[in-house]
Amino acid sequence: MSLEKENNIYTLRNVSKVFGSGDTAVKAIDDVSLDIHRGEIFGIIGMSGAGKSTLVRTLNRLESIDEGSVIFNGLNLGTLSNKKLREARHSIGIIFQNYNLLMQKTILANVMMPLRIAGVPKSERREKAIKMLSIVGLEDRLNAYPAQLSGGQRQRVAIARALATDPEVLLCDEATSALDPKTTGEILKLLKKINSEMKLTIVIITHEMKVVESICDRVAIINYGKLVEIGDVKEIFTRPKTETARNLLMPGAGANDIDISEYKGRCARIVFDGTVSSEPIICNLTRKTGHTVSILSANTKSIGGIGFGQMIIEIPDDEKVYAEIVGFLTEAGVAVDELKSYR
Amino acid sequence: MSNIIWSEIWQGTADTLRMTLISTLLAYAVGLPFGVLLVVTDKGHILENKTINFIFGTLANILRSIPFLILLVVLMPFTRLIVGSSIGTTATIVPLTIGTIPIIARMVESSLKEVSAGIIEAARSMGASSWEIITLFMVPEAGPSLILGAAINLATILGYSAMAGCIGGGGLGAIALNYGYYRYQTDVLMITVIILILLIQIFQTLGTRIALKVRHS
Repeated sequence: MSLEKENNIYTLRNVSKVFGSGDTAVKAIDDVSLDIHRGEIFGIIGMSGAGKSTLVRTLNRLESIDEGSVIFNGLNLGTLSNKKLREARHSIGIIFQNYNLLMQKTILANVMMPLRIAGVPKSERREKAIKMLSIVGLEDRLNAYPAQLSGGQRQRVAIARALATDPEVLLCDEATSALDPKTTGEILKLLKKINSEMKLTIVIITHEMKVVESICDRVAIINYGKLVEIGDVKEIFTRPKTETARNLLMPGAGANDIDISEYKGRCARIVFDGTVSSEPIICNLTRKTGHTVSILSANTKSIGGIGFGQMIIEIPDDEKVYAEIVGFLTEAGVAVDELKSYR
Repeated sequence: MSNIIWSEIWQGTADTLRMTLISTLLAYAVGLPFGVLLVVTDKGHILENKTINFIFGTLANILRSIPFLILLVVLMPFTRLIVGSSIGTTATIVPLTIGTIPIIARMVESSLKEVSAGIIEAARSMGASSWEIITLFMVPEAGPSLILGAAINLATILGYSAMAGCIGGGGLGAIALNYGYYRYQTDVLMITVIILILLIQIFQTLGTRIALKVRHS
């Protein structure tokens, strides 16, 4: 138990959160239990409206916790007094999609603000704030106002501000969703650097698979407030167990992009991981069974050095042929899902 | 033009300015916290409290719906109690202050409501107390808007102070009435009106300039 406490910065048990009441009540979080390990970059991914923003807000109790417990560093956030909660928040940094900087203050004053609230002596605030701003590469813009900065720069200021009080965890709520791909890459690189250099735990909420793919160690998939899957990014990306995970993780070759009603045969999605992707599996299929399939869509990529991919294939509409093909693929270690209809 | 008593006009201008500025300061001393209260006790805000919000919201609406001229009369006994007299410039400060508190409160309320919920969320996640959220985040962020509101309020109070001339208040309003209206000295009337226009122009320009200077968004 003590080891678990040391390893986990967050322990969530049966957390639920309901908005509204009576018939219109919506369960934004539905019985979620998960652990976030110290020092890792933990991703929480889901479609918009899945409840992931609400979930991250329970991690610093911006959102009250209706049921269950959120344990941060051994503290049950749900039952903390206001004073203790405010103290705990000094150890939990957060950045937002819209940066939420004070527009009427310089970026230096913005970064000094949490220090002031944490009761850091006036003489030390400036120096610390400048140090934080140089970590994010903005030491030459101290007296600029947020309005004079680009989105990426504003998010850097927000990161400097969130880290000023030396928190133990940084929560990122769709922090890159308002940024272009290049800037997103730069911010993610910065987060990765902070994670490895400062040993800071980072929790990233996103709807973008790319974000999880590029920097997360582990990921939780949330759908309709429920935890659908959780595990190592490599594991989940190569062997997604649920339809939700597959749709979310591989939108590039998902059923979403293909109108299967256009095809006469039966359509199926096949997913293969690094162990089989090197084999010419479709070619072998044809050789061994004598049946042909057409590839409607294919997507392969390398994640953490392991290649994995998925394809949408069309199989002749014949029960026997279909069974043979699926049999061959399953034997070869490839997951097969028939796509019933266009979603 | 020989019958224009310039010394009285200058005295009236000084009285008007004194009434306006003192009343504005006093009214802000109450109206600013009043406005803050209206915002923070509102639904979903940091100190949500339906009862307090309803009581103070209603109070502001009642006070605002009384025509100022009526308020002047109604408050006469109260004014006499406080300053010992119900006529003259000092006496006018009492109804001017009370009459403009709800206007200022509503103006402050609308300025503070412009501060995005995200800023308040950021403040809360830093561990800021409600007092810190108000003083370090909401009021400074609403600064330019509050200053613009103050310029408008100054002009309103200036107008009200002239109205007070009807019932024995001093200042330019009284001069305009006594000389311009009752004695048919149109030139005096015109002069007082021009001075009032100039004063309002100055307040408004200053307010806008300062607001622009402190605004960075």
